[in-house]
Amino acid sequence: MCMCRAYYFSARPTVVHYSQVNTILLKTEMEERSSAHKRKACALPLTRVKTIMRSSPDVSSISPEAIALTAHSAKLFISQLVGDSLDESHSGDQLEYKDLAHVVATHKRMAFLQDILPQKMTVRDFDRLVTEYEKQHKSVGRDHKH
Amino acid sequence: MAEKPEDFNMPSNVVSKIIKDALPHGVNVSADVRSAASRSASIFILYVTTCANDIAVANKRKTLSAQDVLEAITQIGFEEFTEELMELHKTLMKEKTLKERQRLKNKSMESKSSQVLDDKDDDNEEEEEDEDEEEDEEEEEED
Repeated sequence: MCMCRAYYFSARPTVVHYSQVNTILLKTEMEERSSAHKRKACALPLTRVKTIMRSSPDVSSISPEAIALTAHSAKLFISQLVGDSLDESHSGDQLEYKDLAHVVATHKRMAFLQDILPQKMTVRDFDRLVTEYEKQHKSVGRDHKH
Repeated sequence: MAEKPEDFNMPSNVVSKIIKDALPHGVNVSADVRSAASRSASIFILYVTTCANDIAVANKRKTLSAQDVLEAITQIGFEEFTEELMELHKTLMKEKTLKERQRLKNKSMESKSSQVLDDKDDDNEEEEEDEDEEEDEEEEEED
């Protein structure tokens, strides 16, 4: 009886048995819950984010939504940084520190990370830079004397 | 306030999971990338907070709101995040109103049941009332 009514009123061509309705409802509920669970499992800890935000000077109070949004934006930022780095790295299946440092050095909006992710340099390159700098300095000094 | 330098580090398992989700399958990620990403996330949070605080101060508000954060993120050049963040904000607000409704429901149920309850349960009730007061204080802070 119930089955007939379901078939009669449903716009969809598929026939859903009465006993299945309950399980389908349960399933959607479970899926909703698991998606929320997934979101939480893969999110940065809000207490930690709050601690960092509080340590910023002049910040008096922060709304919980602001904390949640900042945490999520930090997650998006990591994805963005890593994705950009892989796109610009020469090897497609290997991600190294120097790829991140390159992105930070070349993208304008990543410039705030320049002190945190500096480009690494070999001692030989560093020595060469120092000697070049000294040479320039000496020549400038001589110019001043003349 | 952060008291130890460890307070600034993001948990490495979460960070490596985020990196894994962001990259195609089979990409090798070296360990220093993970630590660098976690450090930069912390700095990003500080950066966003400072910008958002500037916006809040400019609008003569003391509390950082979600709107300030969204504006700050656009200002520092990550406007492509705002769409997803707006959606998250919407769902968060929905969850909040649902919770609030549930709380009010529970409260009314409690007040009904408290009329029937014996004297023994009065202590428990007082504690619950205290909790409610604390929550109210928090809400005032938010405003």
